[in-house]
Amino acid sequence: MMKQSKFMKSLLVTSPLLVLAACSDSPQQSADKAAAMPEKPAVMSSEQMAVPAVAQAPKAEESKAEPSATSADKAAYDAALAAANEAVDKAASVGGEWRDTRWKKSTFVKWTSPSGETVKGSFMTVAAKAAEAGDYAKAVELLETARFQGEMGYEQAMAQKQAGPVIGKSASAAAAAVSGDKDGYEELLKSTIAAADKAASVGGEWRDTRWKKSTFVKWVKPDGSTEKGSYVVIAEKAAASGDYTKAIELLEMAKFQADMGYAQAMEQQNAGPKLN
Amino acid sequence: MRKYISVLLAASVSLASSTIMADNNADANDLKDYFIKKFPGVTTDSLVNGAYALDEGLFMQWQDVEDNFPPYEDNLAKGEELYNKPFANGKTFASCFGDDPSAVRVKYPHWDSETQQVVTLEGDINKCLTDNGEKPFKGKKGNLAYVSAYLAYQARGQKINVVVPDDPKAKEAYEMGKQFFYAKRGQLNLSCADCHVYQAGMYVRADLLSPTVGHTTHFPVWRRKWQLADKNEDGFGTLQRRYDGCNKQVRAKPFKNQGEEYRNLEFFHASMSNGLEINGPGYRK
Repeated sequence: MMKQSKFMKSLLVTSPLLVLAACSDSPQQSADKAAAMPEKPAVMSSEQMAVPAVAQAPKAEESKAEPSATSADKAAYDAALAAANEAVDKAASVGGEWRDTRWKKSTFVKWTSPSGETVKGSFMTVAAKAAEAGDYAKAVELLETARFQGEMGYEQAMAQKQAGPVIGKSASAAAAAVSGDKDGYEELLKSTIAAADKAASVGGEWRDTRWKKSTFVKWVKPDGSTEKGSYVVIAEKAAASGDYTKAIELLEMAKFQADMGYAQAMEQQNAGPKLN
Repeated sequence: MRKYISVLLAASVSLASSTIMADNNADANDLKDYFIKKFPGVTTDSLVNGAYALDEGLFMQWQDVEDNFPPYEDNLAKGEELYNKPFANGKTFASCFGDDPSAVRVKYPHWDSETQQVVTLEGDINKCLTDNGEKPFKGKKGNLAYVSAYLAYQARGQKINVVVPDDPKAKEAYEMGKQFFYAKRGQLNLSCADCHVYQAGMYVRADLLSPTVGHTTHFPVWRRKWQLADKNEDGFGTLQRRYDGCNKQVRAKPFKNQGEEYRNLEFFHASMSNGLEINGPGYRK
């Protein structure tokens, strides 16, 4: 199985969220996005909702090869199990455990044993079954995903410790206080355009970042009328109307998308068929 | 970039300190103002109807069900029966909740200064049972939901009024519930607020996302989805059953039913509907 970088794993884990992300996050939440997600469409298509089984979810046919366990395999499994448990315990300690990591009621991971028995469960539950069947390679692979999910769950919970609303007076005041209003907007606009240019230079610019034909972002103006466009386009309109808080909020998302677009394009430089 | 991150971190600190100062009614008003701006023509009071307040066609279909053949009626009657059924010691739920069943639902959730924790209606229903030597109702549906639904029905028309007392522990519980609500979690990295504040009114597949304000007024709910999944075609479930489902949908491990996390969440969540009428139980897709 192709080895995946941490970033690629993050993208796969969060791929549904290439579809989903709030238009308006607090500055702190925006910082969180360095490890998180892009933007949410108005309507998610069934294709978008068809969440990949974390990419690492096992394929039944992969598991049918006869395992040939050695003591080294067993040792690798034991080490992977300990590491996974440690990571998941840590996530659970801050309320960040994910559903399919080791929760007994999860049926997310499906694996067919060499004897033809199909097992469903969490990554760790199925890993244990695979190990019982002597397929330590599969078990370790599943445990690596479990450990990764544990680490991500912990990081997520820690990053979200100060989560709070990004509506209302307190949030607006906080955003305005750091934005420096017009100066902050202009500085951010420059860095956003630079980031979008960088993404475009490698063919990685996303649809709704600044494309003039995008109508994805909808902004209800104070007079009740609405504007539609890309993040940058609407940010410019909001700034023109004096709403720098809104403009900055939109630019933060645009810049995040631009950064992600660049990173994605770089990650995908050697993309090719994975037919096996 | 480093400067930008520092600024963002400073903002997060500033935001955190400002939220500690906030009170539940101010938070509720912020949300109400937000939704009224977001949904021109929708009144705050109509948010008790959830997503149906946002779409006239859906509203008419839903009202037709509520008016003509509410599927929860039989189990609502069971709730009344259970509420009035004497325990082995001869007492009934009235010995815990008082003689007027219509005066019960509106008191929940609340902060209990003695135990220093949030108390929910379902928690107290089970406490009443155990205090009287009975076995508590199991889970988040069935008898527990029936009795809760009966009490909600009796309280229809009364206004939600969750009070966060001037007690540091109570405020902490409220803030924990609020943090839970706004924190992204699970593999899909979604918070309650992502769907029910920022993207309320949008569709996720065929489902219109409901606004947070008005959520708790109509619980327990009878969900068609739950009905189809139940061997007895019982669609009733408590608010915490819904929390459990939401957490599973974002691929987070759900928290313990009536545990501290969900009780605190309920404390915050119900507060956001302060001033709105109780209209439970309600029918949902």
